[in-house]
Amino acid sequence: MAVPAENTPAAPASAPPAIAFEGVTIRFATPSGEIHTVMSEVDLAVEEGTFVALVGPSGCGKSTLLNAAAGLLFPPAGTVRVFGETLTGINPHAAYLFQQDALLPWRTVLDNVCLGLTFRKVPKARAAAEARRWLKRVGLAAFEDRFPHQLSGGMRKRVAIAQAWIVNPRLLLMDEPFGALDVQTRQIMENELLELWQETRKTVLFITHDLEEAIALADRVVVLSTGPARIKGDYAIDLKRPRDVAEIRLDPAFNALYKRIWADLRDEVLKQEEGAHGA
Amino acid sequence: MARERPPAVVATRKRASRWLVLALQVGFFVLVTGTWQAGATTGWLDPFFFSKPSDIAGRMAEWILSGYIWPHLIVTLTEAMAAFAIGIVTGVLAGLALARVELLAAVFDPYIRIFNALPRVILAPILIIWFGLGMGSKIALGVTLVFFVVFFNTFQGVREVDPVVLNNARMLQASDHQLMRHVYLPSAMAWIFSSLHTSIGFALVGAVVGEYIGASQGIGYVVSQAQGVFDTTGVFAGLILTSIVVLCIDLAIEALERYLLRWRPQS
Repeated sequence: MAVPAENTPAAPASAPPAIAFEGVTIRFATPSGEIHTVMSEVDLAVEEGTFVALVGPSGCGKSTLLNAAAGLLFPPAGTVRVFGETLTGINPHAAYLFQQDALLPWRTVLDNVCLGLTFRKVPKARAAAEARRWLKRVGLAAFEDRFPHQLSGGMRKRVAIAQAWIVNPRLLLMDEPFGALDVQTRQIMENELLELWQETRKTVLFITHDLEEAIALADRVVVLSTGPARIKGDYAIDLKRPRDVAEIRLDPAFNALYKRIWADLRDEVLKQEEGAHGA
Repeated sequence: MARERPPAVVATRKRASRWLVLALQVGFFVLVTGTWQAGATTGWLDPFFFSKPSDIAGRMAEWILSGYIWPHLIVTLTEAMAAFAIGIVTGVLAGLALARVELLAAVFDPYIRIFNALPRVILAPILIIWFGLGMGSKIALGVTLVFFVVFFNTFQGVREVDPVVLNNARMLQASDHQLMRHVYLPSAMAWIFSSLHTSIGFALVGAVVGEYIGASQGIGYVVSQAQGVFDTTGVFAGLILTSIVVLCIDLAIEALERYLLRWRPQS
């Protein structure tokens, strides 16, 4: 792709954003019948080709926002637009990387990677060839006949990445995808993700509660406040690319950004803690 | 690979314990039949009511060698397998439908409860009136037993689908039909299989009880004939033969289950 290595969005300014939340409000009825507002009036636009990280205290409704972008959940107020079009069902442009294991446990690695193509009725042989290419890409060529439970957590994540990427989505939604991995594996996976992203420059909406991860990966970090969630801060991360997540943490610019954003985030985490103890 | 060692260790341990279990199983059998045989020989147990293991074994051998039992066994097995097959298909279809369509589940819930609570043997007379003394009535009785076991398990299995796996498939653009085939059904498979072990027994219960009440062929008929002349040896021989057949079918189901559910982690 003819995208410069720096931090410029791939799409011209006139193109509609890859994803736009407009006045999105989400409420749930609790079992006791109370109405719990998870987020109110959230406005957020993500330009095509950018890597945006959403951070916020746990339980602030980050996942809810992502599910609204996926079309898995419909906000009672406000609209979600995908490339300019109002979302009315499952988002056809998006792939989703879940924190939990989301592979079909009864399918082999190869069949799992094929899944999106199978659902789109791509001929079997072509789907398998494409899947093998992706398995090779994520370093799991030798494991195509295994079942998910026979793989380690990191390997299962790689399969999930191949499964999401194979359908060539324009938008990638990631809900703390590496949250369940150990620190070392996590760093390896973050680097692999960045490498893949560098090649394709797909729009990414990445959720994490780990601010370091957010800064290391993203072009832009959006801080959500604790419930009901609103946008508290929006920071451009102008660190050089390509990055190595371990090295970038030693960059003085990284530390400066971390301090600035953490000041914002800390208040929310504290508020959330107080709320939890008060309840 | 770090994983390759542990399974080898587990396998050896499993093997050792399997021999022990087998030895104890045989020991238990010898103990029970030995006591029975001794009791019947010494007169502690009245052979008129309890027969003798040696007599029963002799009778079974006689039946098998003379070819007398085969037609009866084939009739009973045909009835049981037909009931089993029809019960599985209808049970799975009904389970999938009711688990997916909230309204259907709500409407049929009370009727299913009532019908399931009903002792099915009570239906045998009416089924014989409807379907006659032949195989039809036995199959129908077996179906009423098998259906509910399979139905409840399928229903539960579909309800227990991991929502993350389901959402992932939806994000990959699975249609409703594809979700059913690739997600709901395989997810319910473990539940369905556990219901098959119970329902193969029920299918045979349906066949044998139906034959016992009214038939001219089948193991149930043989047992009922033997009972009519106070031939306890014949009754026991029929019972034991039926049990052996059930055990064989159950082992076959287990082998199929092991193959189809090979994706599950061994615990």
